[in-house]
Amino acid sequence: MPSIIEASALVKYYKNEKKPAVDDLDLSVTGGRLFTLLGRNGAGKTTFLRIATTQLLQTSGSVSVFGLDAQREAKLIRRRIAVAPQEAKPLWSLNPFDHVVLALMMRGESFSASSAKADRVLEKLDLLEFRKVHSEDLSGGLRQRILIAMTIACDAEILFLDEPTIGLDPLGRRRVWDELIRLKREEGRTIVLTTHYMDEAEALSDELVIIDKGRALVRGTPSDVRASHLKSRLRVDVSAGFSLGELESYGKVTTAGNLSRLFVEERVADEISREAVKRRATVSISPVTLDDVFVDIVGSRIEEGEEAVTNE
Amino acid sequence: MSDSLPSRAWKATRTMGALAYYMGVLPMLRIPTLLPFVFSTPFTILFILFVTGRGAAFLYGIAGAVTMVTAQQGLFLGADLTNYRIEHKFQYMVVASPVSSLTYMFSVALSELAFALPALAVLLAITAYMVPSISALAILEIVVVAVLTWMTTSSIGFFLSTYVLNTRTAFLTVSFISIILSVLPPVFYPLQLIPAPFRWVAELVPTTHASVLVQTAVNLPSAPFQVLVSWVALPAFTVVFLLLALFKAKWRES
Repeated sequence: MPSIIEASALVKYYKNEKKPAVDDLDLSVTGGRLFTLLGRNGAGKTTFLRIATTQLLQTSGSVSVFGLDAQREAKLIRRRIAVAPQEAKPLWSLNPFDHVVLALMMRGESFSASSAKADRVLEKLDLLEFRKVHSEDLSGGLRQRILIAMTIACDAEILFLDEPTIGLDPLGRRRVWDELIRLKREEGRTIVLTTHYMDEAEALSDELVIIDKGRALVRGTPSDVRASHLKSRLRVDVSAGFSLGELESYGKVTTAGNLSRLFVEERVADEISREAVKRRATVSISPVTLDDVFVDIVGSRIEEGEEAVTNE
Repeated sequence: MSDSLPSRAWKATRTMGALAYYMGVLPMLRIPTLLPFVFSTPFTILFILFVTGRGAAFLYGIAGAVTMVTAQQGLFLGADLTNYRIEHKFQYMVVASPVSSLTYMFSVALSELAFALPALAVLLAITAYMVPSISALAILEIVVVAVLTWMTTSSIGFFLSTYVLNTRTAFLTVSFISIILSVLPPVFYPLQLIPAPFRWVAELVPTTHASVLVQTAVNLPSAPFQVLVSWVALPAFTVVFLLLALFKAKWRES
């Protein structure tokens, strides 16, 4: 399938900022797929999203959506996209039903068509029982679902969702995931998502990009990204029974909470597990996750940055 | 297939109606207790003029209250839009939709007007009671002036809202401009009370002209030339501020 969004040498400096929020970013999103932008806070995900959704002007470079220039042909793009901004709040004294009807009528739909569609979307996101409850009387997670409902109810070809599942409980997240997958599979929508949740990126993405300091570091399918980093390694978590020096003899040790963590070849993992059995120590061995890859890629850049600062 | 012009116009009107209804009419109907808070200032000034001045002073109060209510609602648009943009991020959803900046501005301005209508109805009823000889044409004149004032201050409010960086600044700015536009200039008192050398300053304020026209409509004395000037100046201010809102407001951020 052809690219539906293309960014080329995209740069964005905010006023009075010396460092760019987006720095020479190139990326493309294929139509009909779910594309995820992963990155730390301030990595440039939202800035990219806001440029692509024609809300923000870039400093240089270009973004095209449906082959249309996001800067010059914004009006044509806006008819075909919908956005759920990050940390948005529903409007006061309106209930979930009102919100979805408003979102649809803003796009020229009639009240009767909007009402029928609103109820269908509210049902899909488990909001139907709250359809007449004022948004200020709802929990944070339910309010967040209202914003997602407003976005996915629209017949937009591309849905941009900026950290849509923040504040949702695990079941609420699954409900949203199911609906996003359905929209992609059954309706052929393209979904562009930003998230901090690695499990979400892993569960949903057809393709993802890890962004840091405004640059794309790695892209591909979740399994490609995993395979291209920490290749054929296993994660070994050690809670006790080994000294730091002993663990360092197997490889680089990082800490994850109370655990000491190593990424090692299968042979070494086997060696550590046999040693652990002898010592009656607890170790857990598991495949590498996207979370590990993210920490490895972005974490090592942070260390490099810190070293550079120290050396200056 | 692209829509025909009438179809697009109908859709835009429906969009405007929906935004105005859901953002103004519905909240007002659901929480009507907000109305007294919205109009406390103009009615307080009117009350003071009623107690202290009676007669002609009260009619000046009516003219001032009509002007202040409409001007204030237009300016409140600025504070509310800033709130929708920064706190609710609603404007981000609107920008990335087919709704144009002008449609959005008028929709939310209409939603603000919904809050003004009960007060305006009360003021018109008082006017009809106080000035039994008032003609239908004079009432129409008051309505036209109110609409022009609302359009002017809504444009100012919209323009400001796209530049203000936080809601606190927005509310303070709007309160300050509200005083500049509807308390200091000759809105609640005759223009002639300002010494002649300084009158030109008042002429630079759109609400001065609005009030002069409403004062004339309720049979208060005004110089015919001043009335003519005000009929030219008020629509001119409306056009200028509309153009400012249309071309200089920041719909997309840079």
